[in-house]
Amino acid sequence: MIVENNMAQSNEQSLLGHVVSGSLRDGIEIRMGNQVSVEDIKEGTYVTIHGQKKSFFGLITNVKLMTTDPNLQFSYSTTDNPFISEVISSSMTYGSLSVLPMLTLPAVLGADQTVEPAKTVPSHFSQVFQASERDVEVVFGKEDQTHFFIGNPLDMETKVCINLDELIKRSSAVFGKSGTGKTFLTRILLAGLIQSDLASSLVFDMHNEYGSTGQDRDRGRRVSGLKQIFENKVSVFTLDPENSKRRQAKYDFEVQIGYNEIEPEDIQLLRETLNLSDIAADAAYTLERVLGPKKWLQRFLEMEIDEVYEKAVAWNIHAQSARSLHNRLSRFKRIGFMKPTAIDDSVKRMLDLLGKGKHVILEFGRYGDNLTAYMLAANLLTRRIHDRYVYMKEEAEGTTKANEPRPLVICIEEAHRFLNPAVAHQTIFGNIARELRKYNVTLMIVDQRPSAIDSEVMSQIGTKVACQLDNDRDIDATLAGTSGSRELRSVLSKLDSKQQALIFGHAVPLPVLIRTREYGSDGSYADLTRPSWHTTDFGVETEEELEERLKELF
Amino acid sequence: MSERIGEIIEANTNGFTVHCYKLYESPPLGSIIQSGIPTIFGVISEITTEPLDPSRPIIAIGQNEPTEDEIYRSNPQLNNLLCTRLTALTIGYSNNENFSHGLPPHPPRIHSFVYLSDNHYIESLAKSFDFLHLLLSSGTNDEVVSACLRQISQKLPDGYPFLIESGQALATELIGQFPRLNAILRRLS
Ligand SMILES: Nc1ncnc2c1ncn2[C@@H]1O[C@H](COP(=O)(O)OP(=O)(O)OP(=O)(O)O)[C@@H](O)[C@H]1O
Ligand SMILES: [Mg+2]
Repeated sequence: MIVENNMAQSNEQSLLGHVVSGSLRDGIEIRMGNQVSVEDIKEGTYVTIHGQKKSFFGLITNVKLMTTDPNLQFSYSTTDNPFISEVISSSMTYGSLSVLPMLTLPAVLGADQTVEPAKTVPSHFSQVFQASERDVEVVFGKEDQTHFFIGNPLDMETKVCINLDELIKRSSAVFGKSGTGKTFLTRILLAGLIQSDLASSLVFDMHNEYGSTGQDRDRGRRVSGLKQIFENKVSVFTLDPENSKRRQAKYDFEVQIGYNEIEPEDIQLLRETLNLSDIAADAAYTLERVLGPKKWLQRFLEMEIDEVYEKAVAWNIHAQSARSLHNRLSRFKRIGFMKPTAIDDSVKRMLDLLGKGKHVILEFGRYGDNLTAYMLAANLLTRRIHDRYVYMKEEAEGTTKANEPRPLVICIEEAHRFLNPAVAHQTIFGNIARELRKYNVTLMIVDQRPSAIDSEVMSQIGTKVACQLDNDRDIDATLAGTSGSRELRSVLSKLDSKQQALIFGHAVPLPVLIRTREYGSDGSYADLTRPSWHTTDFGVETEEELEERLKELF
Repeated sequence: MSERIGEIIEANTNGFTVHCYKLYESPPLGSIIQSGIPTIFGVISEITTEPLDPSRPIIAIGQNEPTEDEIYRSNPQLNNLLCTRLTALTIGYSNNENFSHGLPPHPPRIHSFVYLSDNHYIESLAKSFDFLHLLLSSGTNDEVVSACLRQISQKLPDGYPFLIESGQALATELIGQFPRLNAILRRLS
């Protein structure tokens, strides 16, 4: 398919000015023409620059007021005398734009020609235009199976699409301070994955916002969860059936976790939340050895504290540590979903569903507020699911790609709990982030404190979606290692407090500032189940799915 | 073509001097006048009234006259002893309808009749500001520039946009000379 790229014919009215100076590293300076007012130009908007040989696509990173004569600022007549001020403002003052050239655009967009990162700058006096809707579409791709509409550029109705294939190749992150729309955005991204069928997903739904229903706290209303939108593609698991019933939230399966499933490394992760000393946490390994794998926790918790005291010496554990470990682990008894042995093998059930391309959402009910419960369940389930993926991937080695496990995206809120520098080396989440997509598993982490996340993990994140952040350390952490971070920083620091985000990294050809796609109206749900590129309706079963269900029945 | 005001008595390519037919009856400073074939256009940059014979200095004679006008009435010969002259800076010339900004290849002839330019010519002149460069670099007083621009604007149907545009042109010409620009602009406002 050859699409004529008629950027050169952009409409006259959108001419902003001319290139006057600059460099590849620091960006170029545009002298604005008198016909445009600086007040109409917003930072973060796109421009196309018609160089002599190439067109460039860039981002406005600064807007400045300039004068041709520095003495101007000392003169009163420019403000006192309306005639002089009119003359001066139309001749000796001008607006200047700093633009970061991001991409070079091909003259003709063909199958093998794509946009490329800008490796040079446009020549002197090249004309600069406000990017047209078409330009943006050329750059961000049309909505299709892999290109998911995530929002609009500020001031434009064009759709910005994110490349889902790239998104799931490496871990991704959604950052932003509280109430900026992280959960809304993440839910939209997950909807994209569901819609595209490119990967399965597993969501640790700490606050019960993804599955059956979601909350729009600002507008004081409920919004649909993913289960309501994609009935047949999403399974909801709950750790707190009672709470689900109270919320009148439908769920498909209940999840229990048996003491026998807990391993000493789970205890390591909980060191901080349980306030355990290193020695006490390490004692779990000894307990596993002396009391037996799978049985140790159950046996340990059955003991009276005196007995623990007594045996500690024989086990060669510091008595005080054994005692505090016993004391803290006894809290598990108050976690409803923790049982000596679970009624059902939830992990197997989840794996089955994930293997079939379903999406699993695990609701925590009341336990979302219990950090110990949240971390324990998330870590344990992820570890077991990941183990299985490692096995499946290794089995498939050397055979066809079709045997490989389907890509899996694991989504966690409050990610820094699992990925802070103190625990990132021990948790399964840290491993997944570091091993990239070796086993077809990647993370989608959601967090309000990116600075609390281990820098090595941060460096492995492929795509970042940043909502407003107001802490400098968080902004630094988010932008670390990104090219053009100085310019992005200024864009990032001026985001609206809601429903705006800066997306950068692998899934977009260049950093993009968006107004996030609306989520919450009936129309928005319909758009998600019936994207423009697809002909069948996702809410309804496809023929294959029907057939499959029939087979299951008989 | 309008009123004839005098004749050229001295000329070079940069400008010319005109002897006005009537004492004290020169068009005002900054006016645009024209003369010769091809027609040469100039801006009045200086007006002088002095004795015709420089060797006969003027002396005060009106001590016993009640008014200044009485002096002239009692001494009718004054009109022949004094003359009004003006100098003009050339800003352009035209061959038939082709108007060129800039200096003509030759100066006008001596005794060429000099006329005040009419609106038709002034409007075509005002289409470009190239003449400002000639005026500003001629060494003449900047007052001539502002006077000329004011004169032109008064002749145009809508003078204000012209003044704004000429201000912008001046800003480009006088880049780096803000106080000078400011002074001219003040005289225009
Ligand atoms: N895409 C969107 N469509 C509609 N409303 C949105 C969107 N994004 C954000 N909002 C509004 O912003 C509010 C906050 O969003 P959200 O709950 O996702 O924030 P959050 O960053 O997850 O907050 P917290 O840190 O408290 O979990 C929502 O209740 C909603 O009103
Ligand atoms: Mg949230």
